[in-house]
Amino acid sequence: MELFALFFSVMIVNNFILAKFLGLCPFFGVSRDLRSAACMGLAVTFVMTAASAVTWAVNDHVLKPCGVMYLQTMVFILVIATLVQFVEMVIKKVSPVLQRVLGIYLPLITTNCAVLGVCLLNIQEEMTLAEAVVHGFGGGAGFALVICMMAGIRERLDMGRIPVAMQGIPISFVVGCLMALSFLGFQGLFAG
Amino acid sequence: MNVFRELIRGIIRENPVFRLVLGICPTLAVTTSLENALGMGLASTFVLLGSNIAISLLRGVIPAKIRIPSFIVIISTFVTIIDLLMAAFLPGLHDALGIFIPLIVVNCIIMGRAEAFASKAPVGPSIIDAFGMGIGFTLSLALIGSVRELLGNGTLLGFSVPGLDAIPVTIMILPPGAFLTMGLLLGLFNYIAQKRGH
Amino acid sequence: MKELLKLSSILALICCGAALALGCVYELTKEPIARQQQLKKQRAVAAVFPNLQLGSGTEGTAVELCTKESPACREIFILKAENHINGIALEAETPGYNGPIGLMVGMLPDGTLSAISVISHTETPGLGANITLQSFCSQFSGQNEPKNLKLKKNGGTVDHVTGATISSAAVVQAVRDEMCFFRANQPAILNAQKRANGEGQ
Repeated sequence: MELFALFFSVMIVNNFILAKFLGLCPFFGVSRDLRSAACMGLAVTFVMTAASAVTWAVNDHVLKPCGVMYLQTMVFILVIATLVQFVEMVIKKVSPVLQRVLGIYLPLITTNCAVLGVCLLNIQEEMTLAEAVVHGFGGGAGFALVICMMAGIRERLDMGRIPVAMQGIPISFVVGCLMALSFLGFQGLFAG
Repeated sequence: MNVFRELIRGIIRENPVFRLVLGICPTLAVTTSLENALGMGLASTFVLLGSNIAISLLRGVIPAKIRIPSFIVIISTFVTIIDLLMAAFLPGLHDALGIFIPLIVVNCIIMGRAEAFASKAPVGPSIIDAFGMGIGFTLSLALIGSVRELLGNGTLLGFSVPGLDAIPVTIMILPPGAFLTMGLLLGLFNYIAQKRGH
Repeated sequence: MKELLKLSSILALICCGAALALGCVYELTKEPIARQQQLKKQRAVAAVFPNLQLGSGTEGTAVELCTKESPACREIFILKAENHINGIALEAETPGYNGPIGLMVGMLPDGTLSAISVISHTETPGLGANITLQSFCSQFSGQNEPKNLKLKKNGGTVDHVTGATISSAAVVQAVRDEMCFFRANQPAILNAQKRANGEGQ
Protein backbone atom coordinates (compact mmCIF):
# COMPACT_ATOMS: atom_id res chain seq x y z
CA MET A 1 0.00 0.00 0.00
CA GLU A 2 2.79 2.36 0.88
CA LEU A 3 4.46 1.66 -2.45
CA PHE A 4 1.19 2.47 -4.16
CA ALA A 5 0.99 5.80 -2.35
CA LEU A 6 4.64 6.49 -3.26
CA PHE A 7 3.91 5.79 -6.92
CA PHE A 8 0.99 8.21 -7.08
CA SER A 9 2.70 10.84 -5.00
CA VAL A 10 5.73 10.86 -7.30
CA MET A 11 3.66 10.72 -10.47
CA ILE A 12 1.21 13.48 -9.62
CA VAL A 13 1.87 15.40 -6.42
CA ASN A 14 5.64 15.79 -6.70
CA ASN A 15 5.70 15.55 -10.46
CA PHE A 16 9.25 15.50 -11.75
CA ILE A 17 8.71 18.17 -14.38
CA LEU A 18 6.16 20.49 -12.83
CA ALA A 19 7.25 20.37 -9.21
CA LYS A 20 10.86 19.22 -9.16
CA PHE A 21 12.13 20.83 -12.38
CA LEU A 22 13.81 17.66 -13.58
CA GLY A 23 13.62 16.66 -17.24
CA LEU A 24 12.83 20.07 -18.67
CA CYS A 25 15.04 19.98 -21.79
CA PRO A 26 13.14 17.16 -23.51
CA PHE A 27 9.91 18.55 -22.08
CA PHE A 28 10.24 21.56 -24.36
CA GLY A 29 12.28 19.93 -27.05
CA VAL A 30 10.28 16.80 -27.82
CA SER A 31 6.74 17.89 -27.13
CA ARG A 32 5.93 19.13 -30.60
CA ASP A 33 3.59 16.28 -31.45
CA LEU A 34 1.84 13.66 -29.40
CA ARG A 35 3.48 10.64 -31.03
CA SER A 36 7.08 11.61 -30.35
CA ALA A 37 6.12 12.80 -26.87
CA ALA A 38 4.60 9.42 -26.06
CA CYS A 39 7.67 7.59 -27.38
CA MET A 40 10.00 9.81 -25.36
CA GLY A 41 7.85 9.29 -22.27
CA LEU A 42 8.00 5.53 -22.70
CA ALA A 43 11.76 5.53 -23.20
CA VAL A 44 12.36 7.77 -20.19
CA THR A 45 10.14 5.66 -17.94
CA PHE A 46 12.02 2.55 -18.93
CA VAL A 47 15.45 4.09 -18.40
CA MET A 48 14.48 5.70 -15.09
CA THR A 49 13.17 2.43 -13.68
CA ALA A 50 16.17 0.40 -14.83
CA ALA A 51 18.67 3.06 -13.76
CA SER A 52 17.08 3.35 -10.31
CA ALA A 53 17.52 -0.37 -9.76
CA VAL A 54 21.06 -0.61 -11.13
CA THR A 55 22.46 2.51 -9.40
CA TRP A 56 20.87 1.46 -6.12
CA ALA A 57 22.58 -1.90 -6.38
CA VAL A 58 25.92 -0.33 -7.31
CA ASN A 59 25.64 2.09 -4.41
CA ASP A 60 24.79 -0.64 -1.95
CA HIS A 61 27.32 -3.24 -3.03
CA VAL A 62 30.23 -1.18 -4.34
CA LEU A 63 30.23 2.42 -3.15
CA LYS A 64 29.13 1.91 0.43
CA PRO A 65 31.42 -1.02 1.31
CA CYS A 66 34.40 0.82 -0.16
CA GLY A 67 33.48 4.05 1.59
CA VAL A 68 33.73 6.10 -1.57
CA MET A 69 30.37 7.82 -1.49
CA TYR A 70 31.92 10.94 -2.97
CA LEU A 71 32.30 9.07 -6.27
CA GLN A 72 28.51 8.76 -6.49
CA THR A 73 27.98 11.44 -9.13
CA MET A 74 30.66 10.10 -11.45
CA VAL A 75 29.77 6.42 -11.05
CA PHE A 76 26.04 7.02 -11.43
CA ILE A 77 26.31 9.03 -14.63
CA LEU A 78 28.71 6.47 -16.11
CA VAL A 79 26.36 3.64 -15.14
CA ILE A 80 23.45 5.47 -16.74
CA ALA A 81 25.39 6.15 -19.95
CA THR A 82 26.47 2.52 -20.12
CA LEU A 83 22.95 1.26 -19.37
CA VAL A 84 21.48 3.38 -22.14
CA GLN A 85 24.12 2.20 -24.60
CA PHE A 86 23.47 -1.40 -23.60
CA VAL A 87 19.70 -1.03 -23.92
CA GLU A 88 20.18 0.49 -27.37
CA MET A 89 22.23 -2.48 -28.52
CA VAL A 90 19.75 -4.99 -27.11
CA ILE A 91 16.76 -3.27 -28.70
CA LYS A 92 18.52 -3.15 -32.07
CA LYS A 93 19.06 -6.91 -31.98
CA VAL A 94 15.80 -7.98 -30.41
CA SER A 95 12.98 -5.78 -31.66
CA PRO A 96 13.07 -3.59 -34.78
CA VAL A 97 9.62 -2.30 -33.83
CA LEU A 98 10.89 -0.92 -30.53
CA GLN A 99 13.99 0.32 -32.32
CA ARG A 100 11.86 2.41 -34.65
CA VAL A 101 9.80 3.77 -31.78
CA LEU A 102 12.49 4.47 -29.18
CA GLY A 103 15.65 4.53 -31.24
CA ILE A 104 16.47 8.21 -31.59
CA TYR A 105 15.39 9.16 -28.09
CA LEU A 106 17.58 6.79 -26.11
CA PRO A 107 20.90 8.64 -26.54
CA LEU A 108 19.21 11.89 -25.49
CA ILE A 109 18.14 10.38 -22.21
CA THR A 110 21.68 10.11 -20.84
CA THR A 111 21.79 13.84 -20.22
CA ASN A 112 18.24 14.01 -18.93
CA CYS A 113 18.40 15.47 -15.40
CA ALA A 114 15.40 13.37 -14.41
CA VAL A 115 17.32 10.11 -14.71
CA LEU A 116 20.38 11.13 -12.71
CA GLY A 117 18.11 13.12 -10.41
CA VAL A 118 15.93 10.18 -9.44
CA CYS A 119 18.97 7.97 -8.83
CA LEU A 120 20.49 10.56 -6.50
CA LEU A 121 17.17 11.16 -4.73
CA ASN A 122 16.75 7.42 -4.10
CA ILE A 123 20.01 7.44 -2.15
CA GLN A 124 19.39 10.77 -0.48
CA GLU A 125 16.03 9.66 0.88
CA GLU A 126 17.48 6.32 1.98
CA MET A 127 15.04 4.20 0.05
CA THR A 128 14.96 0.43 -0.15
CA LEU A 129 15.38 -1.26 -3.52
CA ALA A 130 11.64 -1.71 -3.95
CA GLU A 131 10.96 1.94 -3.09
CA ALA A 132 13.72 3.08 -5.44
CA VAL A 133 12.27 1.12 -8.37
CA VAL A 134 8.75 2.41 -7.69
CA HIS A 135 10.15 5.92 -7.37
CA GLY A 136 11.87 5.61 -10.74
CA PHE A 137 8.81 4.12 -12.40
CA GLY A 138 6.47 6.71 -10.90
CA GLY A 139 8.78 9.54 -11.85
CA GLY A 140 8.96 8.30 -15.43
CA ALA A 141 5.20 7.83 -15.56
CA GLY A 142 4.69 11.38 -14.32
CA PHE A 143 7.14 12.64 -16.92
CA ALA A 144 5.32 10.75 -19.67
CA LEU A 145 1.95 12.02 -18.50
CA VAL A 146 2.99 15.65 -18.49
CA ILE A 147 4.94 15.56 -21.73
CA CYS A 148 1.94 14.05 -23.52
CA MET A 149 -0.33 16.70 -22.03
CA MET A 150 2.06 19.39 -23.23
CA ALA A 151 2.22 17.86 -26.72
CA GLY A 152 -1.55 17.77 -26.92
CA ILE A 153 -1.73 21.44 -26.00
CA ARG A 154 1.06 22.53 -28.32
CA GLU A 155 -0.57 20.82 -31.28
CA ARG A 156 -3.52 23.13 -30.78
CA LEU A 157 -1.49 26.21 -29.90
CA ASP A 158 -0.41 26.63 -33.51
CA MET A 159 -3.98 27.52 -34.38
CA GLY A 160 -4.03 30.39 -31.90
CA ARG A 161 -2.94 33.97 -32.55
CA ILE A 162 0.29 34.28 -30.66
CA PRO A 163 2.63 37.30 -30.87
CA VAL A 164 5.69 36.46 -32.96
CA ALA A 165 8.09 36.97 -30.05
CA MET A 166 6.21 34.46 -27.93
CA GLN A 167 5.81 31.74 -30.55
CA GLY A 168 7.44 28.41 -29.96
CA ILE A 169 9.31 28.05 -26.69
CA PRO A 170 8.16 31.15 -24.74
CA ILE A 171 4.46 30.35 -24.99
CA SER A 172 5.23 26.74 -24.04
CA PHE A 173 6.74 28.04 -20.82
CA VAL A 174 3.56 29.97 -20.08
CA VAL A 175 1.58 26.79 -20.75
CA GLY A 176 3.95 25.02 -18.37
CA CYS A 177 3.15 27.69 -15.78
CA LEU A 178 -0.55 27.00 -16.04
CA MET A 179 0.00 23.25 -15.86
CA ALA A 180 2.22 23.64 -12.78
CA LEU A 181 -0.44 25.84 -11.23
CA SER A 182 -3.10 23.21 -11.71
CA PHE A 183 -0.84 20.46 -10.35
CA LEU A 184 -0.22 22.59 -7.25
CA GLY A 185 -3.76 21.70 -6.32
CA PHE A 186 -2.64 18.12 -5.72
CA GLN A 187 -0.42 19.18 -2.83
CA GLY A 188 -1.38 17.57 0.42
CA LEU A 189 -3.05 14.65 -1.36
CA PHE A 190 -0.96 12.10 0.47
CA ALA A 191 -0.42 14.04 3.68
CA GLY A 192 0.42 12.00 6.71
CA MET B 1 39.65 43.26 -28.73
CA ASN B 2 38.88 39.76 -29.95
CA VAL B 3 38.80 38.53 -26.37
CA PHE B 4 36.16 41.07 -25.48
CA ARG B 5 33.98 40.12 -28.45
CA GLU B 6 34.19 36.44 -27.56
CA LEU B 7 33.17 37.17 -23.99
CA ILE B 8 30.23 39.26 -25.06
CA ARG B 9 29.13 36.53 -27.45
CA GLY B 10 28.58 34.18 -24.53
CA ILE B 11 26.67 36.84 -22.65
CA ILE B 12 24.40 38.26 -25.31
CA ARG B 13 24.27 36.75 -28.77
CA GLU B 14 24.65 33.14 -27.68
CA ASN B 15 23.33 33.46 -24.16
CA PRO B 16 22.96 29.84 -23.04
CA VAL B 17 19.68 30.35 -21.21
CA PHE B 18 17.75 32.86 -23.25
CA ARG B 19 19.06 32.25 -26.77
CA LEU B 20 20.25 28.65 -26.84
CA VAL B 21 17.67 27.52 -24.22
CA LEU B 22 20.13 25.14 -22.57
CA GLY B 23 20.52 24.24 -18.92
CA ILE B 24 16.92 25.00 -18.03
CA CYS B 25 16.55 22.58 -15.12
CA PRO B 26 18.87 24.38 -12.69
CA THR B 27 17.71 27.73 -14.08
CA LEU B 28 14.16 27.25 -12.90
CA ALA B 29 14.90 25.24 -9.79
CA VAL B 30 17.45 27.34 -7.94
CA THR B 31 16.34 30.86 -8.84
CA THR B 32 14.05 31.23 -5.84
CA SER B 33 16.45 33.85 -4.56
CA LEU B 34 19.26 35.94 -6.00
CA GLU B 35 21.81 34.40 -3.64
CA ASN B 36 21.04 30.84 -4.75
CA ALA B 37 21.04 31.91 -8.39
CA LEU B 38 24.49 33.49 -8.09
CA GLY B 39 25.80 30.47 -6.20
CA MET B 40 24.66 28.07 -8.89
CA GLY B 41 25.94 30.32 -11.67
CA LEU B 42 29.40 30.58 -10.15
CA ALA B 43 29.57 26.85 -9.37
CA SER B 44 28.65 26.03 -12.96
CA THR B 45 31.20 28.54 -14.24
CA PHE B 46 33.88 26.82 -12.17
CA VAL B 47 32.98 23.44 -13.64
CA LEU B 48 32.79 24.87 -17.16
CA LEU B 49 36.19 26.49 -16.77
CA GLY B 50 37.83 23.39 -15.33
CA SER B 51 36.38 21.01 -17.88
CA ASN B 52 37.07 23.30 -20.84
CA ILE B 53 40.71 23.65 -19.80
CA ALA B 54 41.18 19.94 -19.11
CA ILE B 55 39.48 18.81 -22.31
CA SER B 56 41.34 21.37 -24.37
CA LEU B 57 44.66 20.22 -22.89
CA LEU B 58 43.83 16.59 -23.59
CA ARG B 59 42.26 17.12 -27.00
CA GLY B 60 45.19 15.60 -28.81
CA VAL B 61 45.20 12.55 -26.59
CA ILE B 62 41.54 11.54 -26.43
CA PRO B 63 40.52 9.41 -29.43
CA ALA B 64 37.21 10.39 -31.03
CA LYS B 65 35.58 7.05 -30.25
CA ILE B 66 35.77 7.45 -26.49
CA ARG B 67 35.35 11.17 -26.28
CA ILE B 68 31.90 11.14 -24.68
CA PRO B 69 32.83 8.84 -21.76
CA SER B 70 36.06 10.81 -21.28
CA PHE B 71 34.19 14.11 -21.22
CA ILE B 72 31.74 12.65 -18.71
CA VAL B 73 34.56 11.53 -16.41
CA ILE B 74 36.34 14.88 -16.60
CA ILE B 75 33.19 16.97 -16.09
CA SER B 76 31.96 14.86 -13.19
CA THR B 77 35.39 15.18 -11.54
CA PHE B 78 35.06 18.94 -11.44
CA VAL B 79 31.43 18.70 -10.32
CA THR B 80 32.39 16.47 -7.40
CA ILE B 81 35.24 18.82 -6.48
CA ILE B 82 32.95 21.85 -6.29
CA ASP B 83 30.36 19.74 -4.43
CA LEU B 84 32.89 18.76 -1.75
CA LEU B 85 34.31 22.27 -1.50
CA MET B 86 30.86 23.78 -1.05
CA ALA B 87 29.86 21.19 1.54
CA ALA B 88 33.00 22.02 3.50
CA PHE B 89 33.08 25.81 3.22
CA LEU B 90 29.66 27.04 2.12
CA PRO B 91 27.21 24.69 3.88
CA GLY B 92 24.23 27.06 3.71
CA LEU B 93 24.48 27.43 -0.06
CA HIS B 94 25.23 23.71 -0.43
CA ASP B 95 21.99 22.79 1.36
CA ALA B 96 19.98 25.37 -0.57
CA LEU B 97 21.16 24.09 -3.96
CA GLY B 98 20.72 20.45 -2.93
CA ILE B 99 20.84 17.84 -5.66
CA PHE B 100 21.27 20.48 -8.35
CA ILE B 101 24.99 20.63 -7.59
CA PRO B 102 25.65 17.06 -8.74
CA LEU B 103 23.17 17.69 -11.56
CA ILE B 104 25.59 20.24 -13.01
CA VAL B 105 27.19 17.21 -14.66
CA VAL B 106 24.19 16.81 -16.99
CA ASN B 107 23.91 20.51 -17.68
CA CYS B 108 23.77 20.58 -21.47
CA ILE B 109 25.82 23.78 -21.57
CA ILE B 110 28.95 22.13 -20.23
CA MET B 111 28.78 19.00 -22.36
CA GLY B 112 27.79 21.12 -25.32
CA ARG B 113 30.77 23.48 -25.04
CA ALA B 114 33.12 20.55 -24.49
CA GLU B 115 31.93 18.84 -27.65
CA ALA B 116 31.55 21.91 -29.83
CA PHE B 117 34.46 24.03 -28.72
CA ALA B 118 36.99 22.83 -26.16
CA SER B 119 37.76 19.56 -27.94
CA LYS B 120 38.77 21.47 -31.05
CA ALA B 121 40.35 24.67 -29.77
CA PRO B 122 43.52 25.53 -27.87
CA VAL B 123 43.47 26.37 -24.18
CA GLY B 124 43.36 30.16 -24.47
CA PRO B 125 40.15 30.45 -26.52
CA SER B 126 38.60 27.63 -24.44
CA ILE B 127 39.14 29.63 -21.28
CA ILE B 128 37.56 32.71 -22.81
CA ASP B 129 34.63 30.68 -24.12
CA ALA B 130 34.12 29.16 -20.68
CA PHE B 131 34.16 32.58 -19.05
CA GLY B 132 31.77 34.01 -21.61
CA MET B 133 29.24 31.19 -21.32
CA GLY B 134 29.66 30.99 -17.57
CA ILE B 135 29.14 34.70 -17.02
CA GLY B 136 26.20 34.67 -19.44
CA PHE B 137 24.67 31.78 -17.51
CA THR B 138 25.28 33.47 -14.16
CA LEU B 139 23.81 36.77 -15.30
CA SER B 140 20.72 35.05 -16.71
CA LEU B 141 20.21 33.14 -13.48
CA ALA B 142 20.72 36.35 -11.52
CA LEU B 143 18.09 38.13 -13.61
CA ILE B 144 15.48 35.43 -13.09
CA GLY B 145 16.44 35.07 -9.43
CA SER B 146 16.07 38.80 -8.80
CA VAL B 147 12.66 38.97 -10.45
CA ARG B 148 11.37 35.97 -8.53
CA GLU B 149 12.79 37.05 -5.20
CA LEU B 150 11.65 40.67 -5.52
CA LEU B 151 8.11 39.81 -6.56
CA GLY B 152 7.72 36.58 -4.62
CA ASN B 153 9.35 37.52 -1.33
CA GLY B 154 9.72 41.25 -1.35
CA THR B 155 13.43 40.92 -0.63
CA LEU B 156 16.68 41.04 -2.57
CA LEU B 157 19.69 39.10 -1.29
CA GLY B 158 17.74 38.79 1.92
CA PHE B 159 17.25 42.50 2.41
CA SER B 160 13.65 43.69 2.55
CA VAL B 161 12.62 46.06 -0.20
CA PRO B 162 10.19 48.65 1.15
CA GLY B 163 6.88 48.55 -0.61
CA LEU B 164 7.37 45.17 -2.26
CA ASP B 165 7.50 43.15 0.92
CA ALA B 166 4.04 44.28 1.93
CA ILE B 167 2.25 42.15 -0.67
CA PRO B 168 4.54 39.32 -1.78
CA VAL B 169 3.28 37.32 -4.74
CA THR B 170 4.21 33.93 -3.25
CA ILE B 171 3.42 32.08 -6.46
CA MET B 172 6.56 33.56 -7.96
CA ILE B 173 8.84 31.47 -5.80
CA LEU B 174 6.81 28.36 -6.52
CA PRO B 175 7.15 26.33 -9.75
CA PRO B 176 4.42 28.17 -11.74
CA GLY B 177 6.19 31.45 -11.14
CA ALA B 178 9.42 30.00 -12.46
CA PHE B 179 7.80 28.90 -15.73
CA LEU B 180 6.02 32.21 -16.13
CA THR B 181 9.09 34.36 -15.51
CA MET B 182 11.13 32.29 -17.93
CA GLY B 183 8.45 32.38 -20.62
CA LEU B 184 7.94 36.12 -20.45
CA LEU B 185 11.66 36.91 -20.34
CA LEU B 186 12.28 34.59 -23.31
CA GLY B 187 9.55 36.38 -25.22
CA LEU B 188 11.08 39.73 -24.30
CA PHE B 189 14.55 38.76 -25.50
CA ASN B 190 13.09 37.24 -28.67
CA TYR B 191 11.36 40.55 -29.35
CA ILE B 192 14.57 42.52 -28.78
CA ALA B 193 16.51 40.18 -31.07
CA GLN B 194 13.90 40.51 -33.78
CA LYS B 195 13.97 44.30 -33.57
CA ARG B 196 17.74 44.22 -34.02
CA GLY B 197 17.29 42.03 -37.08
CA HIS B 198 19.02 38.86 -35.85
CA MET C 1 42.05 -5.93 -30.67
CA LYS C 2 44.97 -3.56 -30.50
CA GLU C 3 42.65 -0.60 -30.92
CA LEU C 4 40.38 -1.87 -28.16
CA LEU C 5 43.37 -2.14 -25.86
CA LYS C 6 44.51 1.36 -26.73
CA LEU C 7 41.06 2.87 -26.19
CA SER C 8 40.52 1.09 -22.88
CA SER C 9 43.92 2.04 -21.53
CA ILE C 10 43.45 5.73 -22.37
CA LEU C 11 40.02 5.71 -20.73
CA ALA C 12 41.44 3.86 -17.74
CA LEU C 13 44.22 6.43 -17.43
CA ILE C 14 41.74 9.30 -17.48
CA CYS C 15 39.62 7.55 -14.84
CA CYS C 16 42.68 6.99 -12.66
CA GLY C 17 43.64 10.63 -12.93
CA ALA C 18 40.11 11.66 -12.00
CA ALA C 19 39.95 9.25 -9.07
CA LEU C 20 43.31 10.52 -7.81
CA ALA C 21 42.19 14.15 -7.97
CA LEU C 22 38.92 13.35 -6.23
CA GLY C 23 40.61 11.28 -3.55
CA CYS C 24 42.88 14.20 -2.69
CA VAL C 25 40.05 16.74 -2.56
CA TYR C 26 38.00 14.33 -0.45
CA GLU C 27 40.79 13.93 2.10
CA LEU C 28 41.24 17.68 2.26
CA THR C 29 37.54 18.39 2.82
CA LYS C 30 36.65 15.41 5.03
CA GLU C 31 37.30 17.22 8.29
CA PRO C 32 35.68 20.55 7.45
CA ILE C 33 32.57 18.70 6.29
CA ALA C 34 32.36 16.69 9.51
CA ARG C 35 32.84 19.87 11.48
CA GLN C 36 30.01 21.58 9.59
CA GLN C 37 27.67 18.68 10.42
CA GLN C 38 28.54 19.00 14.08
CA LEU C 39 28.11 22.76 14.06
CA LYS C 40 24.69 22.32 12.48
CA LYS C 41 23.55 20.03 15.28
CA GLN C 42 25.01 22.31 17.93
CA ARG C 43 23.29 25.35 16.46
CA ALA C 44 20.00 23.47 16.39
CA VAL C 45 20.41 22.56 20.07
CA ALA C 46 21.43 26.10 21.04
CA ALA C 47 18.34 27.44 19.28
CA VAL C 48 16.03 25.71 21.75
CA PHE C 49 17.82 27.02 24.82
CA PRO C 50 17.89 30.77 24.23
CA ASN C 51 18.64 31.48 27.87
CA LEU C 52 21.68 29.24 28.11
CA GLN C 53 25.00 30.24 26.61
CA LEU C 54 26.69 27.23 25.10
CA GLY C 55 30.43 27.22 25.50
CA SER C 56 30.81 29.46 28.53
CA GLY C 57 30.76 26.67 31.07
CA THR C 58 27.73 24.94 29.57
CA GLU C 59 28.44 22.05 27.26
CA GLY C 60 26.16 19.88 25.22
CA THR C 61 26.82 16.21 24.68
CA ALA C 62 25.04 13.71 22.49
CA VAL C 63 24.03 10.64 24.43
CA GLU C 64 22.43 7.43 23.28
CA LEU C 65 19.24 6.58 25.10
CA CYS C 66 17.64 3.14 24.96
CA THR C 67 14.07 2.68 26.15
CA LYS C 68 11.19 0.28 25.74
CA GLU C 69 9.64 2.50 23.09
CA SER C 70 10.17 2.06 19.38
CA PRO C 71 12.67 2.79 17.97
CA ALA C 72 14.52 1.38 20.94
CA CYS C 73 17.54 3.64 20.88
CA ARG C 74 17.76 7.29 19.92
CA GLU C 75 20.19 10.15 20.28
CA ILE C 76 19.41 12.94 22.74
CA PHE C 77 21.43 16.02 23.62
CA ILE C 78 22.13 16.87 27.24
CA LEU C 79 23.30 20.30 28.29
CA LYS C 80 25.13 20.50 31.55
CA ALA C 81 27.23 22.97 33.44
CA GLU C 82 29.39 21.79 36.35
CA ASN C 83 27.69 18.35 36.45
CA HIS C 84 24.30 19.99 36.76
CA ILE C 85 21.87 19.18 33.96
CA ASN C 86 20.45 22.38 32.49
CA GLY C 87 18.46 21.03 29.59
CA ILE C 88 17.70 18.13 27.29
CA ALA C 89 17.14 18.50 23.56
CA LEU C 90 15.16 15.93 21.59
CA GLU C 91 15.03 15.69 17.83
CA ALA C 92 11.70 14.75 16.26
CA GLU C 93 10.41 14.17 12.78
CA THR C 94 6.75 14.19 11.83
CA PRO C 95 4.83 14.07 8.54
CA GLY C 96 3.62 17.56 7.62
CA TYR C 97 1.38 18.77 4.83
CA ASN C 98 3.88 18.46 2.01
CA GLY C 99 6.56 16.25 3.49
CA PRO C 100 8.35 15.52 6.76
CA ILE C 101 8.98 18.31 9.27
CA GLY C 102 12.13 18.11 11.41
CA LEU C 103 11.94 19.63 14.89
CA MET C 104 14.23 20.21 17.84
CA VAL C 105 12.41 20.26 21.18
CA GLY C 106 14.16 21.66 24.23
CA MET C 107 13.08 20.44 27.66
CA LEU C 108 14.12 21.71 31.06
CA PRO C 109 14.96 18.99 33.62
CA ASP C 110 11.63 19.49 35.41
CA GLY C 111 9.59 18.65 32.30
CA THR C 112 8.79 22.21 31.18
CA LEU C 113 9.31 23.12 27.54
CA SER C 114 12.19 25.49 27.00
CA ALA C 115 11.58 26.22 23.32
CA ILE C 116 11.14 24.53 19.97
CA SER C 117 12.79 25.10 16.63
CA VAL C 118 11.87 23.85 13.17
CA ILE C 119 15.01 22.37 11.59
CA SER C 120 13.70 21.24 8.22
CA HIS C 121 10.49 21.23 6.26
CA THR C 122 9.07 21.30 2.75
CA GLU C 123 5.88 23.22 3.48
CA THR C 124 4.44 25.86 1.17
CA PRO C 125 6.21 29.22 1.41
CA GLY C 126 3.93 31.88 2.85
CA LEU C 127 1.58 29.33 4.38
CA GLY C 128 2.89 26.18 6.06
CA ALA C 129 6.43 27.55 6.00
CA ASN C 130 5.39 30.13 8.58
CA ILE C 131 5.65 27.48 11.28
CA THR C 132 9.30 28.57 11.49
CA LEU C 133 8.32 32.07 12.59
CA GLN C 134 8.79 33.13 16.21
CA SER C 135 5.14 34.17 16.40
CA PHE C 136 4.21 30.48 16.20
CA CYS C 137 7.16 28.80 17.94
CA SER C 138 7.19 31.12 20.96
CA GLN C 139 3.81 29.73 22.01
CA PHE C 140 5.53 26.55 23.14
CA SER C 141 8.04 28.10 25.54
CA GLY C 142 7.19 27.54 29.15
CA GLN C 143 4.41 25.02 28.52
CA ASN C 144 4.28 22.20 31.02
CA GLU C 145 0.85 20.70 30.60
CA PRO C 146 0.59 18.17 27.77
CA LYS C 147 -3.16 18.59 27.59
CA ASN C 148 -2.72 22.25 26.70
CA LEU C 149 -0.56 21.27 23.77
CA LYS C 150 -3.33 21.24 21.20
CA LEU C 151 -4.61 23.75 18.69
CA LYS C 152 -7.11 26.23 20.10
CA LYS C 153 -9.84 24.76 17.95
CA ASN C 154 -9.19 21.37 19.53
CA GLY C 155 -9.37 22.62 23.09
CA GLY C 156 -5.77 23.59 23.68
CA THR C 157 -3.93 26.88 23.89
CA VAL C 158 -1.90 26.99 20.68
CA ASP C 159 -2.87 29.35 17.84
CA HIS C 160 -2.37 27.83 14.43
CA VAL C 161 -0.56 29.52 11.55
CA THR C 162 -3.02 31.33 9.30
CA GLY C 163 -4.06 29.08 6.44
CA ALA C 164 -1.95 26.14 7.63
CA THR C 165 -3.86 24.09 10.19
CA ILE C 166 -2.39 20.78 9.04
CA SER C 167 1.24 21.95 9.36
CA SER C 168 0.49 23.56 12.73
CA ALA C 169 -1.32 20.47 14.03
CA ALA C 170 1.59 18.25 12.94
CA VAL C 171 4.06 20.39 14.90
CA VAL C 172 1.84 20.53 17.97
CA GLN C 173 1.32 16.77 17.95
CA ALA C 174 5.05 16.10 17.59
CA VAL C 175 5.95 18.44 20.47
CA ARG C 176 3.28 16.86 22.62
CA ASP C 177 4.64 13.38 21.85
CA GLU C 178 8.15 14.47 22.81
CA MET C 179 6.91 15.96 26.05
CA CYS C 180 5.10 12.73 26.94
CA PHE C 181 8.16 10.70 25.95
CA PHE C 182 10.29 12.85 28.22
CA ARG C 183 7.96 12.46 31.17
CA ALA C 184 7.61 8.71 30.66
CA ASN C 185 11.37 8.23 30.55
CA GLN C 186 12.60 11.00 32.82
CA PRO C 187 14.68 8.83 35.16
CA ALA C 188 16.27 6.96 32.26
CA ILE C 189 17.19 10.24 30.56
CA LEU C 190 18.79 11.72 33.64
CA ASN C 191 20.63 8.44 34.19
CA ALA C 192 21.89 8.32 30.64
CA GLN C 193 23.93 11.40 31.39
CA LYS C 194 25.57 9.70 34.37
CA ARG C 195 26.29 6.61 32.30
CA ALA C 196 27.90 8.74 29.62
CA ASN C 197 30.25 10.28 32.15
CA GLY C 198 31.10 6.96 33.76
CA GLU C 199 29.14 5.94 36.89
CA GLY C 200 29.06 8.11 39.93
CA GLN C 201 30.70 11.39 39.05
